[in-house]
Amino acid sequence: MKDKNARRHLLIVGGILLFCALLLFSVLKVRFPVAAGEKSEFAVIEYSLTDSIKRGRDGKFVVTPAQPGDFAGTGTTAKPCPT
Amino acid sequence: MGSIITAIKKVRAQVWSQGASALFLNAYFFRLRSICIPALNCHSCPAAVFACPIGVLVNFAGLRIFPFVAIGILGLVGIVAGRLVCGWLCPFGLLQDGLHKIPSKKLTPPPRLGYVKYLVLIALVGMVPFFFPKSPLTFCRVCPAATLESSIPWRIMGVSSGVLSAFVIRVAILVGVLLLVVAVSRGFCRLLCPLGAIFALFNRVSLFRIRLTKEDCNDCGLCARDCPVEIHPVTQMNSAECIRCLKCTSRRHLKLGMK
Repeated sequence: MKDKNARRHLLIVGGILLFCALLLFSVLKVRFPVAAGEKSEFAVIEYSLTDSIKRGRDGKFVVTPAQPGDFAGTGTTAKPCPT
Repeated sequence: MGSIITAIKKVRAQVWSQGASALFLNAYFFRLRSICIPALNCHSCPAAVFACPIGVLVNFAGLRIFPFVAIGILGLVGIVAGRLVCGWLCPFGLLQDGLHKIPSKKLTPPPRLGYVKYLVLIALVGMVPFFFPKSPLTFCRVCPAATLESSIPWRIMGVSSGVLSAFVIRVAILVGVLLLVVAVSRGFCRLLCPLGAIFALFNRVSLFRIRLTKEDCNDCGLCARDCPVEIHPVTQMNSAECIRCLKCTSRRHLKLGMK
């Protein structure tokens, strides 16, 4: 039983380290080349929420300007559902 | 009597926690949408503050990018607390708890149906958006929380780009899920929620989990009667289905702990 719990604790410590490392890696290293320069993953998350980022034919990322369907100029700070 | 009062206090604390979380996640006046919060709360809701982790996973699968942030946040929360988020923070959980109080015939789904949420996770959150990013079958396009918090409000406000037929299908799915949760306690969490499926993977090993003091258990089964997901907290302790609502911990043989 003790052995099982020790294994569990090891798994927890390993998991915490792994997931912290993923977050840290994203903050420090992950950058995506888009037309407007390199963007962090956080920026890509924000673009993706309104479908404003796509993969071009060459596989590179393209940030698209707000479409009428993206509700640009509706005077709201919220970004509506693109679907 | 003491345990009944403790149980009532715990239920109230849970409702307060879920209510506060629903308000905070939809506070409207500030935006932190580059960060995903580990609860099913649609980021397209006019008032949403944070990004939905499932939405981010779907979008990133479509873009074919590994979602370091979403996986990191979900993994950290999962390994520390398991499905505690489902029980205490998820706004859609609050709605389900409320709806299930409507008097009606109550149903118990067969446990095997619990695996459907893993299928939803693999298919609608992973594979469909990865292989067919424009498909109307990605999870976000059928998500009942998104319909409720985003599609309907935007449609009412007269701002919507979606096709009417797609909207009607979304509403039909939402109605189906709402009817399901009236009959089945936490039906969406148990059977369909992909976020619940992710946290369920961590339930057995998470840092915080339910602990049993065998000497205090007299096998009366009262703790099982309290359970909203209809598992037996003693025999199925820390099962993947446990949403850590902690109702069973009002009985003195079960406690939330780190040991």
